[in-house]
Amino acid sequence: MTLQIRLMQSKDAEPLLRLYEQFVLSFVGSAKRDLKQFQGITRKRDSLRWVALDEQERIIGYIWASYVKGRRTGRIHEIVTDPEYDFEAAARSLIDKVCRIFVEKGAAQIQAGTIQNPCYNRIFPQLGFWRMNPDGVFMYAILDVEKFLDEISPVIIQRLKRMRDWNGLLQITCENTNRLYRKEGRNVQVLPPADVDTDCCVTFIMDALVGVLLGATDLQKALSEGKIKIETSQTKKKTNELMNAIFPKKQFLVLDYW
Amino acid sequence: MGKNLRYIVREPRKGKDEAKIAQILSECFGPVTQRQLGQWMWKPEVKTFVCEVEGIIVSHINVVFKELHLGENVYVKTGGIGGVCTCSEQRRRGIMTSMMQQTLDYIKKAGISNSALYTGLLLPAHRIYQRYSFGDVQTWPFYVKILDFPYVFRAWLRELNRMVKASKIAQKTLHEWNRTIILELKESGVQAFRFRHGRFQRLPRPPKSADVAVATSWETLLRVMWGELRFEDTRKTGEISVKKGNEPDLRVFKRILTRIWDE
Repeated sequence: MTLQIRLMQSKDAEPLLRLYEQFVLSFVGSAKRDLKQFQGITRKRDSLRWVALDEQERIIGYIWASYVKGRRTGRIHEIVTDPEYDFEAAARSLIDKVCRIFVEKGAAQIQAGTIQNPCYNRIFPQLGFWRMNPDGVFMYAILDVEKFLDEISPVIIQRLKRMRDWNGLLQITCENTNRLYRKEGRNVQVLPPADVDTDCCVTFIMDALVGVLLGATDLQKALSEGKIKIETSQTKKKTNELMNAIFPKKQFLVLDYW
Repeated sequence: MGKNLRYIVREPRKGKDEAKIAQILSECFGPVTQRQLGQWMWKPEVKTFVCEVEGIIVSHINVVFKELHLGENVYVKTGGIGGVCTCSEQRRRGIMTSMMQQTLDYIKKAGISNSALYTGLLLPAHRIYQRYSFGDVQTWPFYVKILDFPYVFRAWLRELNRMVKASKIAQKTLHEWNRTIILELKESGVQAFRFRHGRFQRLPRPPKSADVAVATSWETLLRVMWGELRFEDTRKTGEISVKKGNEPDLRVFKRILTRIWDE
């Protein structure tokens, strides 16, 4: 596939927002953005914002970088590609383009950071970059369990709906607060909290709930360490299928700092 | 909070408080100008709190609301905490613990169920956040390619000078520490600097003798600077080979590398 690379233009803001929204769907942790933010990104004319186009001239990826002249430092902030395309192929052309510009500008160093696109591991070391693992860490806390469980209900519902072979009453509990989900076929209902017999009751400590949702905790490890407890009358196989469906392993990726 | 410590937590005043806040932020995070601060602090989506002790601002924290993707195209609003810092003279008095509690209360009152922040695993603040139920989610790697080693060395010394100028605790640590350091670096040969009269100075030619002399690589040096490798461990593994230097000087050298000046 031949990719065409060109500078970002103001008219690209809308397709770039759509591309970003598609891209972050495969990850958790990424922040919601609006058109205004992309208008801001496309408005600046510094020759370090490029888009990759496919044969139909559709934008399938972009790179956003900046150059700090006083420090002779090139910074690659963001590489986003259409999930349908090979990230490496699209990203590589964009990185090559930007790195050449950095060299022309006289960069003494180039930095590329993200939390944490695993594809970077396949690209940057090959280009002679060192991987640094600083002590920086992203931390998360649930302040109101009741509200948080309500907010994540749509996630649980959608995942339950996709399960073909499981029907029944599921209870999710965290810090003595629980939510009940009744699934019959494609229909999933959230029931008011009640003391009832369920087909599967999953009890989380707070850290483990955050961990599995944000891809920081391995489900099986948390189960073996007792951070997640399951009470069920179902077979182990069926329970595993249910747990893997509701809490699939997701990759955490944050592109926005504050 | 200390028994006799009288303090007020309030919002900053535009046109009056920027200089002091910039000074505190510079001490903790590296140089920040009032202009840079102004571009961020007065945005409508940013809520800032400062703590005042005896009429002087000593602490700063801000909150910005973001929506984070938790899967299946569901975004949940989060209270993003940032810029958490206290001037070095007022640390260990419980000011930040109290500020943190008030900030989390503010987030909860705004109807937000959760909060997120960035910090360093090696920073004392990490333990404070854990006390408030914050859990580690992800550390983040970044990639770096050095194209001009001597320039990066000079830039590092410049950056250190800016930091020392802004940080009272760094000035205290380096007070009367007049030493010369030689670095034998695998990728760029010998580089030397000294600390004298409160400033780091690059030595164009390495001196015949130095107070501290180490042999290592840029890669290892950067890993220590970024907190990935512990200075003590690199000495044990031989990644940093100390050719000369007594332990007190090496402890200060470690602080210069990591830029963590607190005990």
